Amino acid sequence: MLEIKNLHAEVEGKKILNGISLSLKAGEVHAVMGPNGSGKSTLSNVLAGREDYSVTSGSVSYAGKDLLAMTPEARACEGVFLGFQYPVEIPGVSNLYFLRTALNARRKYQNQPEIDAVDFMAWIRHRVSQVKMEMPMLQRGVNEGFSGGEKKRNEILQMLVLEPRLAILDETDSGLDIDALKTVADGINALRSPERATLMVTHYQRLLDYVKPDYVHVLAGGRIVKSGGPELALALEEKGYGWL
Amino acid sequence: MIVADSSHQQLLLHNPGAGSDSPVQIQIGRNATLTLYRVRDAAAPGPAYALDITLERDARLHLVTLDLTTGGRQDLNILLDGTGAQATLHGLFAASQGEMHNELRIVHRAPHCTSRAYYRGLAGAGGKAVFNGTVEVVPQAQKSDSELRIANLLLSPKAEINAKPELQIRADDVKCAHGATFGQLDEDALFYLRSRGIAREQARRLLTAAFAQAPLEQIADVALREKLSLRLQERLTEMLA
Repeated sequence: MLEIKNLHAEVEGKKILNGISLSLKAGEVHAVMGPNGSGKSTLSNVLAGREDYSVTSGSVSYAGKDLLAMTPEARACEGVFLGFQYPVEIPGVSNLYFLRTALNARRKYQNQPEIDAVDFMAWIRHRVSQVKMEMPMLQRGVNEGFSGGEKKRNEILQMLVLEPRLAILDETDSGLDIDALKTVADGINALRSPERATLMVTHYQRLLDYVKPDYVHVLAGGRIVKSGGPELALALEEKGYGWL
Repeated sequence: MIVADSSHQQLLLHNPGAGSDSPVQIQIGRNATLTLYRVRDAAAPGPAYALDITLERDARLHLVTLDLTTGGRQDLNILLDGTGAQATLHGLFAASQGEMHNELRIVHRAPHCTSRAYYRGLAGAGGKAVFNGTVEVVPQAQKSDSELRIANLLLSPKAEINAKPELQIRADDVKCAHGATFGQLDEDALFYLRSRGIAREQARRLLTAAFAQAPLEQIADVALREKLSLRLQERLTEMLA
């Protein structure tokens, strides 16, 4: 589903990614771990199409298409989802309106009829309870005044609404208490299926206790220095990154 | 026009100044409340006009002013003439083309008066707006409490807004604050919306509308608010085209 080949990227002239190669097949969950400054967030943002990062060489193909040639909105409509490490607050745009607009943008792209406000309310209700949010939070501005945990629940809610084929979760587990972590993990697991893939970027083993990855990769200095199964994450937890 | 003592009135001034009745003068009597909506949205700005409002003792003014036309000048003068008078203003101007000019002057002439003015300014390519806001506190107006804020959003490198909030204070026991900010659409918010599949142009429109909507939220009359909200959306669509 996702084929990253020898990806190099920089931001403001500083080289961050130095030749990443990674292959995700449908049905797989991959975890990318690594110390601060190793390029984890850059990788997530480059895949989602953030414009202040420039790709200097390499390629990324997604479902047979050149991902890097697409706008961020086209990537989303094609089924790529980025869970933000720091979700943005947007006062004045209601969470509900935002979610429906996003869903309808994708439906329009796929030549499906748009969902009206009434049907959407019915449609979203159980997804809201799935992430243990309250309906009044949908009336507020996007992430406006949300706590750290609420913002991350809201990211997972968006993921459940948009049902991406490829979810890239950038430290979605950071700053969460154990209840919120379980909720977030349940959301990720709910979307696990043979047609979908997940790339979890994380600092800690903790999330991997709840979402079992098929593969674990260690990122350091902008390249993948080691790959393995779930046992690799456990070894990292025990020994840190120094031994690699 | 006079708002009688202790009465409560609501008034809509829609494209004022078109006739020869400039300046419009309003007197708000003792302990009376006036809710006033001033809207300019005609295709052509019309002649410059002035609105003078005087508040007597304990009078209250709630004013929402929207300037969505293409230029011209309007003046607003508020005189807090009686002890304990309170004026609250929420303003929006959106300059799509031509040069629009808004003058605001609030004078605290009696003690214990409160004034609040929150403005938002928008300009698109080819649009220029001038906003001069002054709060004057005379020596006998002790215990005046005043705040004047203006936030501006520039939608194009060619857009121009000159906003100048100013205080002229000649009393010593007062609480006065003022400030102006200028910015462009938040790139992080734009990327966030786009990463959810919302096209760039639609995302820009959403964020601009969110910025401009705040003064409209102050309109209690739902039918009027929705009508003006639609008018605003049309204008923003033109500005972002």
